[in-house]
Amino acid sequence: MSKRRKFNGLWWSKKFFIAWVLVALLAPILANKKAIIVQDESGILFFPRVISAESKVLLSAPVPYDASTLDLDNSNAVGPFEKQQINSIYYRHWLGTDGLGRDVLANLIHGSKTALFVGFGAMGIAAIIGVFLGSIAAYYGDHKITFSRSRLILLIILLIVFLTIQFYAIPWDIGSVDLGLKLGLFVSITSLFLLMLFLINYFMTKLEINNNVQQKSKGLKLPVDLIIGRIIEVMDALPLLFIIIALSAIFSPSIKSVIVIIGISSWAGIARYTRAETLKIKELEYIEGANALGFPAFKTIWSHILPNAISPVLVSLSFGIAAAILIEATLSFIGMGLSTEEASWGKLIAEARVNYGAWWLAIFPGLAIFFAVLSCNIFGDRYLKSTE
Amino acid sequence: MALYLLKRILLFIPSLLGLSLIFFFLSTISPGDPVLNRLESSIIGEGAASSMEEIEQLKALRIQLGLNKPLFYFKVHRKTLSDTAYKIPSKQLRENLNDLSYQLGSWELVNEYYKHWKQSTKKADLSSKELVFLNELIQISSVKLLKEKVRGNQSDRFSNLEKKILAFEAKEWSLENYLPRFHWNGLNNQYHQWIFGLFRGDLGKSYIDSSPVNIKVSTALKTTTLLSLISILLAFLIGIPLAIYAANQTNSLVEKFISTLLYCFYALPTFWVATLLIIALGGGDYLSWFPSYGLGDTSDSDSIWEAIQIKTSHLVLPIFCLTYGSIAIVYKQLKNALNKELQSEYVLTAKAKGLSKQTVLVRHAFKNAAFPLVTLAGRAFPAIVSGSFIVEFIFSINGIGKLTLDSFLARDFPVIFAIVMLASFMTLLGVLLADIIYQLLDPRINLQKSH
Repeated sequence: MSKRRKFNGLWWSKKFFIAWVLVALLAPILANKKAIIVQDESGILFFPRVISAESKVLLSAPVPYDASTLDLDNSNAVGPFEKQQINSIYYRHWLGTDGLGRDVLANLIHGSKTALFVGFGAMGIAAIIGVFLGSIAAYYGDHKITFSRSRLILLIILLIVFLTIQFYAIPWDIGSVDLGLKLGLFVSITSLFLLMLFLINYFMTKLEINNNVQQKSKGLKLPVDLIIGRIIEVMDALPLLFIIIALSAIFSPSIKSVIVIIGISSWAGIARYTRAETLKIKELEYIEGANALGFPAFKTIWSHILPNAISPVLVSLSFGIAAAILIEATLSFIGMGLSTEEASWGKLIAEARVNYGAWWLAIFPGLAIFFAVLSCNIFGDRYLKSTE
Repeated sequence: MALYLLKRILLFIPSLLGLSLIFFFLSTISPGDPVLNRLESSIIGEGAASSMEEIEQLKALRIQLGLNKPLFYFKVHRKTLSDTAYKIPSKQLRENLNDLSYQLGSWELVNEYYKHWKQSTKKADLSSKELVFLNELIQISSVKLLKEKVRGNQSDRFSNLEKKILAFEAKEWSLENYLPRFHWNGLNNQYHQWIFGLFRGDLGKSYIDSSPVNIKVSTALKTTTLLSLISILLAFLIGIPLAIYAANQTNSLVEKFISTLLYCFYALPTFWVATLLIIALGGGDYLSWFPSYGLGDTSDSDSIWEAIQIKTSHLVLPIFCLTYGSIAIVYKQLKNALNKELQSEYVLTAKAKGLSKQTVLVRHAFKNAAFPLVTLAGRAFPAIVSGSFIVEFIFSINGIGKLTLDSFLARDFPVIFAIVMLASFMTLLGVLLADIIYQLLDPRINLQKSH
């Protein structure tokens, strides 16, 4: 039998992933209009702001273009194999240019940074929200948190006052008040609120101990699981792309808002997985032991439940990163989300729609998205197999 | 069963209401004024008088669209803000006056100033210079600049107005700015009107062209439903036989090829495939086999055969883009389920009876492995509304997806509300249908107990 070397998807995904991260992090060195290291009379300069005539360039970027550099000699989408108007081979556009003369390779390199940041940033936010909500929903359930009636009423009053002040008394909508004052008011009111919360909690506990109030029997139950379950249901009921487009119509376009928008709207899956896993682990004996030892709930959840519940979360996280990259590319493709200076793979493909016949504008960024999403999917499937 | 369904529906109503509230709130804080935009695009030729005329026209339009009512049942606001500020037609104007009243610590002064300004604009034979002055005056949102503007004015026809402005005194800190005030608006408000219209089946009028939202959405829904139903049907018709074949021939070369190919399909971005197809086959610089725009128009003179031909040629590319990803999902789910079933004991029994592997697969294992397909079909229900979003955008098909995008860009909130509610309703329907089919397929499942 011949020894046919088996194609190993996971190995290739790992290699691609490492390359992707390296390109993304080194993007300013790989594709930059300006020289990277320059020597002049004052010594060696890294990333110089201004290059004087006397200074000697020690190192310049392999791709001498920024993502938004316009090469007017080669505008109107010049292909990689066509004749280009360039001074030397160093200035060649190896993957062609788009309709405005922007270098495709430089855009690919800077776009990989956008994809990486959006994928990991958005899923980071989603993971924080999802893991937090999912674990407390499962850990506390519907019966564990009880309030005495008086404490509940006090808390509700405090919350209403706080929200009223936060939304209506702070002049968020007044243009002539500067942002510093608004934020200052916000911080001081929030800290005052937290102080009040702490004081109320402290004195009510003392009062209840003094009066021998039996919390369990007289208290009202807070159905944490029910409330969080409803929220997850609403998030699931909405098509994800709808919320994201609705939100990006409201936020100002930038990478940061895309990350926040995708993050706050795609945590439902992670929350569901964490909840299911926590429910299973909660019943195990070592958690009972932790409870018997009197560990605080936070410690039990954080250091005893979550480490064992993390692998299903990793599955949905991997698929989530793939989905976030696709969503960002789709948003950029339809011209929403990012600001005009920020490079993205989706934007390049949008250029291909305008410049018919410029295959290089569609093929290269499309392959980049495809391989990024594929490698994330392969990681996800790998984790899925290891959990089963 | 009926009790369970009723319970699910009743539990979903608060979620729907919450959703509608969230979107209503978002619509109020989103930047831009859709009605003003519409007006500005319709006004041809901008003179100095446009601002005053614009305000009058805005007023009429807002009354027509029901926007002259308060937003919600109640309002909590700063003490310096008027509770009838929603009557001021332009959003920009409202923000400016709001800003002024914050600086002065009193709404009454600002209101008087606004009234005087309105009277001044109605004076007969105003010169163009005076019109420009009035026009610029109302756009100033700072007391200091307002006074400077008045002092720099030569014309003496607005002495009343100017006196008012010069009497303004900006307060640095007034406590009234930080005291909230509660105001009950009653039932005659925008949200009430909209949510009760929803129950009656009347979704209001579009901000863009005042046409009924019902008609807009239902026209678009027809197109999208056609696209989605064909693609869902195709996905199941192609995916199921492939999965059965793959489960039958595990580890064969063909199975590996199909699996790898479909796994890659899953990672292919739809908009990229659509763009490539248009460039390659849609009459770009290369082949022009298929039209790449719209769904094709058929006239009455065409025979049925010709009409079908036109429609089909327009449908090929969009349907392909919609379907290839779904095939991959159906294939993956069914294949995994089949492989799991093949290891169970009843399959062994069936094999021991002497049945062929094919018969065991199709007649025994498939029935039990079909459950993930039911869930998938339930999930595909909301996709009828939202699934073909990007494909409609690229191929310029006037369906729900394109309508959504256009409405978002123009901030046409009645249409957005309608689509969001429709999408969530479809989700509920899909989940319920999947539950019912589950129980019909497997009487062991007890819905009342499992939930």
